[in-house]
Amino acid sequence: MGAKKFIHECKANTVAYREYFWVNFKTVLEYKMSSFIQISAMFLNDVVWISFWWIFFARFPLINGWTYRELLILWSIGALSFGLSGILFGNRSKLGEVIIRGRLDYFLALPKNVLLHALSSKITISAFGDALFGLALGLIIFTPTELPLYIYLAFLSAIILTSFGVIIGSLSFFFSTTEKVNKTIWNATVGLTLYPTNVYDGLAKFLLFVIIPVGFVSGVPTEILRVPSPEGIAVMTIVTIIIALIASLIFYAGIKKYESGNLIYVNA
Amino acid sequence: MNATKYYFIAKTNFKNSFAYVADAVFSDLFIALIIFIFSNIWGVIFRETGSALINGFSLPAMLWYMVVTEAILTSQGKIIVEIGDEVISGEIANQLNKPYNYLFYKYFSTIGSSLATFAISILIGGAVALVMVGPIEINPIFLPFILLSCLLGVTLHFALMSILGILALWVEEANPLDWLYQKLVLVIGGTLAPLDIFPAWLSFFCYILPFSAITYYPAKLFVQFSFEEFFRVTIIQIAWIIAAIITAQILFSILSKRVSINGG
Repeated sequence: MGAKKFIHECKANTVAYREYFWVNFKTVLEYKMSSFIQISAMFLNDVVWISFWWIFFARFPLINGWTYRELLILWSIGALSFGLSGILFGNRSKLGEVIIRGRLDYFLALPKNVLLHALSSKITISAFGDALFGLALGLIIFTPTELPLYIYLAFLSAIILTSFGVIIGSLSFFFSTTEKVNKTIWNATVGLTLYPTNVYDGLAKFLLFVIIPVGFVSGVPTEILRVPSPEGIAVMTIVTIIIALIASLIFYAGIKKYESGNLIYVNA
Repeated sequence: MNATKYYFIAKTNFKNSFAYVADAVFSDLFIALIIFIFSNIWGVIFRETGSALINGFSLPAMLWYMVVTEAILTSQGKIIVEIGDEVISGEIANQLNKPYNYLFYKYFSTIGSSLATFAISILIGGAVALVMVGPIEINPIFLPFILLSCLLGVTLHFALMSILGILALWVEEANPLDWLYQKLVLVIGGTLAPLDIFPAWLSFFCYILPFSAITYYPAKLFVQFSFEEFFRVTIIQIAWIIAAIITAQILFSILSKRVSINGG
């Protein structure tokens, strides 16, 4: 592909993504009360979580070098990145459902990037609650000079989380997984990111940071924010790019195996 | 009330729940993961404090306690969303002319699969706990009493969720109610950690709220059984179940009057 064509494709996909985002965002604004209830309930949901950890750390103030502050850093990154991925790529946890139900046909028939299109065709409304919670927590615990790094790491984490969603969803191309199985793997992945990551050693640590690098969603950013280092930021950036590329490769390899559901589907 | 029809509803549902054993087992991956995570967290805490007991719990007791709380909490599925969606969509109108009480039908049509899910969760969560921290000593004579307490916990869990499912008529959203309710049972119901480790002022409130009768009390009986405590817990659980059923029935009768059937 020539450079000119590549730039043209990037521009076209950006315009399409922007339009999609605004159409989806208008849905949030249209159902104001419903959106408000979902967003505020998710915000409260996160408040209950950190309240639990407040109780826990009040009883055990130091867990393997972590205090309550480290836990709050983990949650600020975890909630903001989860929220951002739900707002920007709302279909990231539903990709398996799209594939299983044969609804990928709709995206395949259009001339835009299939993966980007499928991911951004929906906004998860409750994700605004997570993003607002994460941001509010970030504004409380970080100094103004730490905020840019926090936002940058949260964006990288959101890309990693979305990539995990793509990989989990793409399993449906290769195996006869059910929506329940996909949902369980997704919940397990997200669940792992919201608990202290400093308590593992040996094989568990190797699994979480190398084999299935869930630790990079919130654990590694927490350590970087504790002790900022250019090396840490560089590693986090490179790992994000690698995971996103792997997710994209798996998705497009899966498309070759995709069998149309022959479904007549109205995408209203 | 003709109990036979409810027995057959529960029996049929129990059999159906074994049609998708692989799915059910895989769904319990999440419980296995939570037990794995907390075995690491508690492992570090016990190592760092250097004591064999924390608030009367040994490391194996702490993990096995959690196996039971998680198994109870996840046994029922999303009842709030199920009832709430039927209420919001008006689909519940189809249930009102049936020869059964809707809430009893719902309970008996889910209790079969709940018991199957509970058993699978205990097996899988227990397997992880066994590998991570070893076994726990239980006198088999106590098991029927512990299981009865778990069943009462599951029943109370259902009754509270059905109240919230009906309330969805006024809130117009079922999912947010489910998120918040589940978190309350997780935290102040003592699912994630026994209420014994909470500050005294907070644990006092948690003990008297109904959420502790769902998970905390049955799980604590599992690791520290006494007949005195069993009778006390049973009375608390039955009192909360009766209060919740009466509230649910009152709300349901208000709801039934507000249902308008448009045909179609």
